[in-house]
Parts: sequence; C-alpha cells; structure tokens
Amino acid sequence: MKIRRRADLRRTGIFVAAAAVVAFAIALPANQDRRDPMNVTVPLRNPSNRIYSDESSVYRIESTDPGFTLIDASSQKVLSERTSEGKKIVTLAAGGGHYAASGDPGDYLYDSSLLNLSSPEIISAAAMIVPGDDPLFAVEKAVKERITRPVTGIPIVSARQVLATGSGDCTEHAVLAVAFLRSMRIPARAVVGMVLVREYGPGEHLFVYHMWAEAHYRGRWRLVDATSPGSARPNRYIAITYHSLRTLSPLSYLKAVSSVGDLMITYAGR
Amino acid sequence: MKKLLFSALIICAVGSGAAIRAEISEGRWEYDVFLNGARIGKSTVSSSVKNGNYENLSEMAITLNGVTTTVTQKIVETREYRPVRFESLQSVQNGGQVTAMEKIAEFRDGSVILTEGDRKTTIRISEPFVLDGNFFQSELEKKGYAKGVSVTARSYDPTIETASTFSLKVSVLGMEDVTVRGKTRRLNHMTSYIDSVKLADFYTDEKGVAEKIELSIMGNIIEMALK
Repeated sequence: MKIRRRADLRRTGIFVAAAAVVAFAIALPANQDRRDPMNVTVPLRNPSNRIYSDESSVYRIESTDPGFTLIDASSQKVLSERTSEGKKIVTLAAGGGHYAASGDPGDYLYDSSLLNLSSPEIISAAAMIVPGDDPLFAVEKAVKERITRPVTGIPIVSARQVLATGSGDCTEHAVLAVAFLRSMRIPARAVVGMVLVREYGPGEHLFVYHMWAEAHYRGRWRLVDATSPGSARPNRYIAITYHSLRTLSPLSYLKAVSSVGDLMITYAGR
Repeated sequence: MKKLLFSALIICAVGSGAAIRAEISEGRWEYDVFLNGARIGKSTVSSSVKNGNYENLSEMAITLNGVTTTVTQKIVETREYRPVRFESLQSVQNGGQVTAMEKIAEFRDGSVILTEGDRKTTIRISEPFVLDGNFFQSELEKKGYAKGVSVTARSYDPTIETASTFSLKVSVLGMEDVTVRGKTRRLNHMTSYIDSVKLADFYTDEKGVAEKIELSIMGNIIEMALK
C-alpha cells in the first residue's frame, strides 16, 4: 500500500492518556513544604490569614472556559453560577457545615481494577487498621504510614501498586484511602480539586491541584485527606469533580478537568 | 441487529458519500510533547494494514520529576471500521520500580470482552460504535477537510468508560496563522470534542499533516509538535 502522510486524527485516546498522566502528575505532593516546579498553582487574590483559622470561607472562582463548573461536595456548596463576557463565575462556600454532597452511599463500595479490593495485599493491609473511635482518621494514618516515599510525577496507579512501591503523591494517598475504606465497608470516593496552601515554595496563599477522598460515615459524606491525617481544614478545599476509579480517565472526570480553563480565585469572606 | 445499526450509523455520518471509501494511509509520525512550553516527552503514532485489518499504534512516553510514564495503545478494526481489538498498557518507571496496568478489549457479536489484569468481564453494549481508529480520518478526507465540516460518532474506549460509549466529534474550523516551534505557519484548524466538551485542537498543513496538537487540562497546555 502506498505510504502517504495525512492528517493524523486517529488517536484522540493518546491525548486523553496524556491529559490523564499530566493531570495526576501535577498534583500536590504529600509533603506540602516541598518546592516542585511541576506543581501548578493558582494564587489566591485578596487573601487573608484568617482563612487558616476560620471554619468557613467563600471564594469567587472565575474561569476562561464557559463550561467550567464545580460540584456540591462533602464540605462545599455552590452558591451561584453565572457567565459574564465569556467567563464563568462560580461563588462557592467551603467548610462551615456546608454538607451538600449527594450520592447513595451504597453506590460507593464497588471494586475496580484500580482499587483491587479482592487482592490479598489490600485485604491484609486493611485488616490491620484499628478503627477505634474514628475510623476515618485511622485510615488516613494507615495510608500515610504505607506511603513512605513522597514522589510527584506519578499518574494514577492501582492501590496494590501503591502498596507495593510505598511511593506517591496525593493521588496515591487518595486511591489507597478509598481502597482501605471500602475494604472496611465504609462507602468512599475520590475527589479531584485544589487545596489552599499558606506557603508553597517561594509563594504564599496558593491553590494547588490536589486529590483526596470522601467517606460516608455517621450519616454524611466527610472529607478524608491522607496526606495530612487529622489536620484537613475543609474551608481550604475546592472540589472540582469526582473520579470513579473505574478507569484511568472516566468521562465525567475528563469533561470536568478539560473545562477548567485559566482560573482566578478570589477570597470573598467567611 | 448490531450490524444493521452500525451500518445505519456509518450511513448517517457519511451521508451521500457513503459509497465512496477514502484511502487510509499507512505511515508513522513522531511528535515531541510539551507541557506549558517545556519538553516532557515524545509520542509516536503509526498506522498499518495487518491481516486485512487496520492497525493503529500510539506510544507516548512522558517524564515528570524523574518518573517516566509510557502509554501504549493499539487499535485493530476492520476495513469497514468495525471494532476488533483495543489494547492499552500504562507502565510507570519510578526509580528502580516499574509498575504496569494493562487493559484489553475484544469485540465479538455485540459484546466487549474486557481483560484488566486478572479480571475478565463481558459487557453488552446495545448501541453501535466505532473505535478511535481510522473512521474520523476517512470521513473527513471524503469531505476534503473543508471548513465547517463535522463528523460525529459514538465511540468506545475502556480507559475512559468500560460499560458505555461516548460521543466523539471532529470539526474543521479553517485556515489560521499558528506558531509551531517558534515559527508562524498557515495551518488548517480542527477541533475534537468528547460529549460536547472540547478535547484537543489539531493544526494540519496543506498536505494534511498534523503539525501541532494542543489540549488544555486544568489550565495547563499540553502540546505535541511534529518532529
């Protein structure tokens, strides 16, 4: 057959793969003090130190992509959405009892090729967790202890692989946390979004791309962040979308992160 | 039934040009991959005919912070664009550690037999679909890559969804001045959409060669530039 050079439109899939690799690789490392040029940040405009002690914060998020949207999550509620001059503007309340997450808890116990719930390694590791009075904190601690080598640049890998390597960033913490929680029959899901960090490298008051978990416990969805056991402040988290952990790039996740655009985040009070 | 529905889809997408079949090219294209302007890896896309079927192979290697992720995808489809096989392998080299995840989908009589590591499942998908192989190129080529032309079809990719299809669309936007590797070029702009959300922009030269491919993810620009 004649060899010709033509427009190569065949493989959207490889671009999806590139997007998945990069999106997870730019996420926040487990050690937040570490300076890392691959971590892409969004500076907070009109910052205030009181955010770090307050329980609740309101942010105005502007995106150059009119398709940009945010979800109601375990500790955030979308207050308003509007489009102006081609920009999408979302006002969001974070923390402070804005428990707006929905979803039938029973739908978040399934196994997948990323969670490996039936593997002996995950079953054994989850069985070693002593739930005590606060099983969510126990899971956060257990994950943190398992991932001893903070490494950025890793795309999403399976829970069994996280256990085997003991390395990773927030993505690996979130995947392992969801696997452990579901092994303990606690409904759980992964969240992709951003977290506000007071100091990050040379910068201050920066939102950094991040991944964490939500667990349904004692009647509602709660934030679980194994990168900082017991110290997560929900008012500093902005959830963009959920990740089903069924595939590398689930459609809802892909659509949400493709619509982020250039962001401008402004602190708008308590 | 599925074959009938599939045929209907092709006819709908092709319209009056259904009887004409575009020649699908064989070849190999190499790209550098950039993140926000910094080179992070390379990608190779090739197309061939093997055992009477079209076979498309895509390979991409990206290194970020010393971690190298290699993604390989192989798509096999018939000369009529019916799905035969999809293979995806992601391997991560992190220091001395290498981890790999493989996903293989085989398409038989309206069913997808999906193998993910040691998990094997059979999935029924009721609607017809194409793989992201040669179908879009074929349809656009028939229409001469003319400004305003769009091609839409249901597609399946188990690295996105295992049990359902999604809409994939490619639109031709027309000639634009575009900067590629620091030089301004006059190229034909095409955009791909997944379920109505923009995924990537393609810029092709007068011979139809994709010189530059660009997508935005979380506000960051991933660019692929032809070597």
